[in-house]
Amino acid sequence: MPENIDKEILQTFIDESIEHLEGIENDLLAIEEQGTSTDQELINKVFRAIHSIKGASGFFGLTKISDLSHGMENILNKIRNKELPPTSQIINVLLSSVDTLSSMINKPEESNNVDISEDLILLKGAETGAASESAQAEAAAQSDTEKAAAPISQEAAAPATEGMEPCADIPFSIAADDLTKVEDEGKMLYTIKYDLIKETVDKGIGLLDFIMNLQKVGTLIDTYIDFSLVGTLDADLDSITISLTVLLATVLEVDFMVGSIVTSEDQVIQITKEMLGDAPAAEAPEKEEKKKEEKTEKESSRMPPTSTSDAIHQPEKETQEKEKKEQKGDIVADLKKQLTASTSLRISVKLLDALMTLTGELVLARNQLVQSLSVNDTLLIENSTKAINLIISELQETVMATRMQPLSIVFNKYKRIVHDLAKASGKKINLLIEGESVELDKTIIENIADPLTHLVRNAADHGIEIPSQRARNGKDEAGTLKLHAFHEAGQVIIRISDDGGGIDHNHIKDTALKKGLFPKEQLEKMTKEELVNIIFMPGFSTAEKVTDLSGRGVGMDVVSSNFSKLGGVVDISTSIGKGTTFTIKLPLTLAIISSLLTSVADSRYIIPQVNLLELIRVPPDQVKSRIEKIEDVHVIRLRERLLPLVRLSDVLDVKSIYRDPETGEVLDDRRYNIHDRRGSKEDVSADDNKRATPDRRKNFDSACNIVVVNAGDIQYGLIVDTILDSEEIVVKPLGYHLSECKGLYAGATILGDGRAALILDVVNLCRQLNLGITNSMAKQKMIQKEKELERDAKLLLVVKNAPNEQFAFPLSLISRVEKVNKKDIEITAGKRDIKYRDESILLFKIEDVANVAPIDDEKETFMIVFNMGKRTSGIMFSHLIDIADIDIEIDESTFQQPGILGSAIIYDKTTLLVDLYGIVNAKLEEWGIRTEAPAEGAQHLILLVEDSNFFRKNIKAFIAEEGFNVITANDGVEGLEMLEKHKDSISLIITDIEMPRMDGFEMTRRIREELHMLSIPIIAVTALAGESAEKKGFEAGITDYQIKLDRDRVLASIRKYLSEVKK
Amino acid sequence: MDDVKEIQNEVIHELMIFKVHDVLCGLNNIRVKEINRNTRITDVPHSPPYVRGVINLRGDIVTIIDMRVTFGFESIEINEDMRVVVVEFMDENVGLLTDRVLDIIPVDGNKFEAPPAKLLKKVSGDYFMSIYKRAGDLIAVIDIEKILQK
Repeated sequence: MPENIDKEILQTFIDESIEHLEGIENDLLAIEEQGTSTDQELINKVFRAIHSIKGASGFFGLTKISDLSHGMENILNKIRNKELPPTSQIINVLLSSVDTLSSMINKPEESNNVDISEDLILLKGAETGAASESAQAEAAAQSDTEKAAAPISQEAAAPATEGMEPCADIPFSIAADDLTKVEDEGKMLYTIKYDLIKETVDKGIGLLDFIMNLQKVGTLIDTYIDFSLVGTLDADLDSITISLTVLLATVLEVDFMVGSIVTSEDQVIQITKEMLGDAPAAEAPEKEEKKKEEKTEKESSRMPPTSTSDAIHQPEKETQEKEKKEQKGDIVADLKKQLTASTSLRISVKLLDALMTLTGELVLARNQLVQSLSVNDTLLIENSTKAINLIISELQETVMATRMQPLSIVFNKYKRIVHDLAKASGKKINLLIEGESVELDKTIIENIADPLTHLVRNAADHGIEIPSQRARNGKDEAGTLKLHAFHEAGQVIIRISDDGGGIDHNHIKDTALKKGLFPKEQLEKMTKEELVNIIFMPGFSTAEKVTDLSGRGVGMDVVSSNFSKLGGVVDISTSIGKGTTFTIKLPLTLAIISSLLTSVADSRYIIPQVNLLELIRVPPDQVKSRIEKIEDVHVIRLRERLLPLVRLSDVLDVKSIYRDPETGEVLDDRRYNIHDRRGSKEDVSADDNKRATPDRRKNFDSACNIVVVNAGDIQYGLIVDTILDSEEIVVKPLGYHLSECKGLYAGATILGDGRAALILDVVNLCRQLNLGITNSMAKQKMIQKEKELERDAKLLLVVKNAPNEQFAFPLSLISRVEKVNKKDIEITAGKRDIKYRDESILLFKIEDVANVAPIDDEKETFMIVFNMGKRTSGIMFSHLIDIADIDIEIDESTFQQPGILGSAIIYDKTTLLVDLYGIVNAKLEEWGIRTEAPAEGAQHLILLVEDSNFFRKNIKAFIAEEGFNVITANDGVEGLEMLEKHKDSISLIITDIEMPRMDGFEMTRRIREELHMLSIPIIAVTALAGESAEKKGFEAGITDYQIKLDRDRVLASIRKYLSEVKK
Repeated sequence: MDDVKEIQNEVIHELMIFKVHDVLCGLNNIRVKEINRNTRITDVPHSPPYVRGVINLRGDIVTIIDMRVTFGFESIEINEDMRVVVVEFMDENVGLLTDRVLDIIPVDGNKFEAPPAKLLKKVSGDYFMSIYKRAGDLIAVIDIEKILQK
């Protein structure tokens, strides 16, 4: 390559060429797909792209690039002229040439040393082989010999547009028409070869004069300089020749030229019609390498066609070939190279203008600030600071926008990869791409290509089955691979799904066992999801054999860690026989991320917003009841789920601190068990909950701050000392010496006070802790616990009237809680009432019916508003404590009395469960008010089967309130007995699921199967409807599912099914 | 000696003299990017013991190597005299936490000697390129590449 070429211009050439090549690949695939009916415009597009590469590379003297693109151009020309069908064989040859071409263009300075003979032979083979339908290699060889015989070849062609007929031994494309035109004018067409040095330097005339001289004798149509013959700067100046070929139309005969414009006849070749005829369009597009080959062949009498003219490069050939093969084999490496190689970027002028405007504004704001500082005007300073703040935010956004690039850059590469993979494995794969216009930061785009390719390759290689197998499984022979990108909650989600065989968790189990990743017992206990997630563990690869296209020893663990390096998480869901979906969540940008600042001891740690789910502060007096220890794992009860907890101080091995309640002194927190504050080494069981004395250490500062984070397949809580603030941070990498602890940190940043702080990598952290998988035992227990929770969990409103008496109401029965001003309460005829939403409602106190301490005489009290049939009533209380979402055991005997259903321990206190309906009914009865039963219900008898007295009473109360007749049973066995007794009168059954002796499922089954009562509606009521339980219930014959104390919905369901029965 | 040759190859014109515990150390001044009194170091839990932490050096996160720990001495609390010597290693800035920086002196190329196997019976001679003899004391010239290589 000439060394004097401007680096900048060369870079432009590289950028442009890469852009061209990127388009070409997909276009070629489209051409192949369309076959002979290919859109002409598409071929033209590819042709033009290749042509501009050829043209520009010729200019730079990149002969090999020019040669190769010329060869491609020839084939494309034939395809364009419909002389060659775009078979997949030909397209493959073109594609592989595109590969070679792009690798050469990426390193233009070395491109002239690249051995392209193989590509050229293939190209020639494709070009002629397809025409003569003979075997490719033979054809290649043959065509070579033919060419050697007929001395017609051509230097690099000038812009060849349609209709132009390139001709022989001349570097120009000449249309027959043009020749006719020249001849019509009585002129002849010549190509004349000059040595420019001789003609100008030696003769002491300028280039312009030389050209003018030529113009005097004829019309100069075109010129061509062969740079490959120019030599390099360090060559001997005297030996330098610049070969110039001109295309001249003139009336002069060759004889007359000698002496005037040429020195020897040999320099001149006359172009004749015959020459054009000898090289018709179909055969014509030969190129300079052919000429060169011809030369070599002449020189070394029939060297095999595989050899090239570049004899000097022979020794390097072997290594080059090897390199090339490697390059070809590893599409991914290429892809990565291409993506990481981009050092320049195209941005829209609009963005650039916006940046300019903002910069201008910033300058103005700065001037303003400087000025206001000099006059020391506080108001002005404040204003300009605000302005600068605004401008900088906007500037930040705009700069970020310039870095955003569409995912299509990555996605479009997969067309080729999937195409090649499908070819290589004999599969049929349809690739669907959606959302390729979704934009991500350049850095992310560049770095996701690798792991994404791995996933795509895995899907194509291992996921989608071979056609015969697909057919056997009753699937479409062609598998579908779908890439889908979209925005969700400030993140970009990429989904890669295939409709292949899915991942067999048993297979994973076997492999994991074989590889000794886990002990057998542990594997046995793992759930399906846990097993599937093993694929992300280091040292695991399910590939039966490592094919050329699969794995290459890179496991899914690398994929996962690659994404997590980018602040992303991968999730997997799979179904055997149906397919696999990988979901990747990525942040929009890496440079600046939102995050949460937390602290442990005196160090601050940052948790990226991407991983953040929620923050929980467990008040000190609830720590004991909400946090438990199962096996070795601390867990918290969070909305009927158990969430594993990790103390950040334990993970990081630093001292945790807390503030002493009395002295305010900062002390080391030496708690061993989170849920127990006594520093004991022993696990304190949940029995402690029953201690009725208040916890001595209820203190604000010993509350538990939990950051709930999402680590892909698992969520867990990180316990930190303090949660400080959310902040936008700039991510900086950690140094070389900290690479070992990169599993813990995703990097570092600089905080507002100028100090460095570490960013936690919560995904890897979790993997290192093995929270998800290794604690299978704990997990099992957790699942068991969760089940228990489901049965008994209920939301209770906890209140107090007198300091030592705590009450609880089932929250689901309450419509509202209102503040009551004492003076609004009216007492009429011994009945308390209050205006509530334009209606006067009766107000009750618990002590009206139950024998409890009277309500505290406060100015302001609260009331619970609830509905009983059509009547709205209120019950007063004085102190609101909390809404408890906890597992309680109801003691139904100790405190049994009117208005009270039972008692339970809530927050270490004996709490009375209030019977809302009981209180109201008792008072109404006393006053002689009867609730008139709605007529509709009276004719129906409902059987309620429920083992818990508390629920039975409550449910019965609200159903009866609606006027239905209710009979009750304590369990399934009793229920069946009752049903047999009142077989004809019972029109609907409401049953609990978990009951002693016989559960709801079993009872339902028996009702349906043994009593043959197929149409009677059976409504199951549970504390919490779980999907699996529901499914099981429906299988058993349950008509509907409702939540136990959800009065309105239970009633609605009753009405719905009763009306259906009537019909 | 090979080591001495190496030094001559590296060409030391000036030595920056600093102290680590009671070892008087020298570092080819050409390797020193800056001497800094920024000792607001952020701990990095689970880092190798010789890493004291990280600091913010004008927007860059720089790893601080505790020279005391590297030489096998007890680490001490940060005090007024301590300085961070910033050097470049593998294209990134690394800070050396030293007890105090004393001087920068021009050197005489003939006064270098090969280091002993052990310095003060404790510190491995591998960390040093040579010993520079000065009137009254000996300066152990550290081999920064070896020290910073994990």
